[in-house]
Amino acid sequence: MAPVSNPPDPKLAAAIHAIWERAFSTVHRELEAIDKAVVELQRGCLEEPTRAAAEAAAHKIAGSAGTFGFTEASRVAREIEDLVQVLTPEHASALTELAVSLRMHLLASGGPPGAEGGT
Amino acid sequence: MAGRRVLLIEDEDHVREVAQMSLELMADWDVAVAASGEEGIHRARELRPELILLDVMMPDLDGPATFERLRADPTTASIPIIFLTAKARPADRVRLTELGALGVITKPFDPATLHLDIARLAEWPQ
Repeated sequence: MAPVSNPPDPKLAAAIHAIWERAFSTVHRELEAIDKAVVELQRGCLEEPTRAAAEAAAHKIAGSAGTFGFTEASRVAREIEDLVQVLTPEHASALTELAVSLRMHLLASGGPPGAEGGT
Repeated sequence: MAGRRVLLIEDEDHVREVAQMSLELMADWDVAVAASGEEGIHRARELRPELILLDVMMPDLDGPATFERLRADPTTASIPIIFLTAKARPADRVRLTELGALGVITKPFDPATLHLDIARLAEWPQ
């Protein structure tokens, strides 16, 4: 797997950028699903539906973010996906850090790396 | 390599859009799409594509179940199928290959080279 950091085709770069902008609301919902699991785990009341939703959200981000150039976000999301399958209250701190890191990697630039110049 | 007819079955809108755009722009393939396993089976019967790209994790009818339905239907049984999956573990890839798929492409994929990965697995001239 070698996610796009600099798509060679300007039309492809522009298309990826446009698709990312449309995908943004979906990605936000997925981040919120992970954040909800973080909050419930910190409070010691993580419910299974919340955990499962966080796992599904992390899986989706892991499988898609790198396609838009967010290689590190995909890696962090895969860590979250693995972690939420074995969660205990002791994992609250680790999950919190990963969720913050994921949000930072996905939202810091506001657009896909490498696509900015292609529009 | 231009002009290949491919069916992409993927439930996530933005992943489906990127893959379709990538194959159309980078390889000039004719890419039909379906957003679910059921729709994919219908489209495969209708279009008889040269190859199917099939997502693994989908609601309702998932990739492996869709695969079995396509294999059981004489009109689609011989169409080569490549799985797309975000499950990166070797055991997952082996399980999918053992079903009889042509191969497995791990998500996230690179939109600039997706067509090359498919062509390599399908042994299409590049």
